[in-house]
Amino acid sequence: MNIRLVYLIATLFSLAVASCARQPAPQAQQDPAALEKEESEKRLADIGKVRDEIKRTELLDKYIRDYPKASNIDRAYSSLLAALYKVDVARAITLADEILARPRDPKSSVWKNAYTYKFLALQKQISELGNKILEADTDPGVLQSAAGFDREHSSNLYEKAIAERKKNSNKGSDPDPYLDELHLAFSRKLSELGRKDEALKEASLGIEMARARLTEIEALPKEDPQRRRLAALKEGLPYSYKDLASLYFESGAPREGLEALVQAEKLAGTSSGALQPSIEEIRAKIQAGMGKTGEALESYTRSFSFRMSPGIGDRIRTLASKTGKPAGDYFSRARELRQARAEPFKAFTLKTADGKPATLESLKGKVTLVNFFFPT
Amino acid sequence: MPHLQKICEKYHGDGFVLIAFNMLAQQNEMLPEWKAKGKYTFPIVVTDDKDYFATNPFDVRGTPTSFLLDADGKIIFRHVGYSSGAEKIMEAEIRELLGLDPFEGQEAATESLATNR
Repeated sequence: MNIRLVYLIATLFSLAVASCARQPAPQAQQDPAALEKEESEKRLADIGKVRDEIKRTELLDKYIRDYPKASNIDRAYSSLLAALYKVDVARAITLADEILARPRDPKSSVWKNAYTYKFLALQKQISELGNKILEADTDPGVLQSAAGFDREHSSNLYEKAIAERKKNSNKGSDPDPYLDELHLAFSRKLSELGRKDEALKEASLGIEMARARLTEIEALPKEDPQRRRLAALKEGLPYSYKDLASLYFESGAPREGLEALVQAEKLAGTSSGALQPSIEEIRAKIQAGMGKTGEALESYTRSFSFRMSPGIGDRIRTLASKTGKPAGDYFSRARELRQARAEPFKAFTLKTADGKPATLESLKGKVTLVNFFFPT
Repeated sequence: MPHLQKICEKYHGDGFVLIAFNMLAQQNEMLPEWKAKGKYTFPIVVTDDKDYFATNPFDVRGTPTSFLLDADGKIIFRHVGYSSGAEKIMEAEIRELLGLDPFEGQEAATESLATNR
């Protein structure tokens, strides 16, 4: 019974001590196992009181050496991991690996702790490397890549990468610093970190820069090598506007969100097959948030006409039940939209790999998935 | 491609076919081995034109790209690139065009995919 109780509160030293204190005073004829347990608890509790982590590490090392068969040895290992990861990351990782390599005792949680502290230690190493790069390096590419790995320093790393690229651009050593892209990447990172307001600022700035850059490049003579970026810039902008719209929506600015979607749509033009379902989905979310259920349903229906995402189908059913119109009406409408814009697949006369003729006519009458690929 | 092969087998009897275009003539000779390795049964269209990817008449600019055509040969759905969950969506669209309930039996389908792995 006491063993159970102690196990339950295994990792909490103070509680363990309290529960021991409440036990009746030991008697001379108490069995040796109970006695050992009590003494071991006391020893470990005393070590737990030591505040200095290096000192505590030394005491735990000694405890493990002196009492390798102690009933609470696994807890000693867990405490050692906890102390080590603060003072000696590399050793914490080695110890965690040693523990994980042992056969597992299902009653002990030491291997679970080994995983946790190994993750914490690895993360700490990443963070230390990020910090070192932040302090010592000036290469914008290195800074940006470090920002991708090190969550803790990511925004500082991005800020420095931006500052360094600006410097290079001012010095003339980098005439096209891709600053727009860097601001947009920073915005995505901030959004991921939940810092929506800052993400919104970076996205707006990035888009403004990308538009300016586009105008600049378009004015360059045909043979200028910088024009090579033109296609990528044009293709990226509608996506950036779509992300901007989401950020406006999440920051409680629905009208600006809808406006950004209009821009995204305009810039995507007709070749926006991939973008249109998400544009309509975000539009629907914003409209639903504004209480415009009918308009939201229209947008969801358009999104569904491009891409039959199960989630969008569910949204249509939910919203339709509010309006009293059957969801089937919207699904039929999506079908009509699809048919109205459907274009015939271009005729072709080719051969299959086995040398048989392949033509468009041979596919007629069948629902066909045409897949374009490279064998890899 | 393995998931396309599965879809192909699942809906073969319902009037569905899959056809794949190899966009890189330079890799035509890799096809027999690739096909055997994946146990693919669908026809693969090839060309000798090494510039086919750049000049193709279908306005395909990257792979993977998929067009889903109805029985009249009209393009109803397009999938450009890969995104998570795209297989489920594509299957729903195929079912829709075949006149089946688009989302019926999807849970069962994913389960069997998971256990086959």
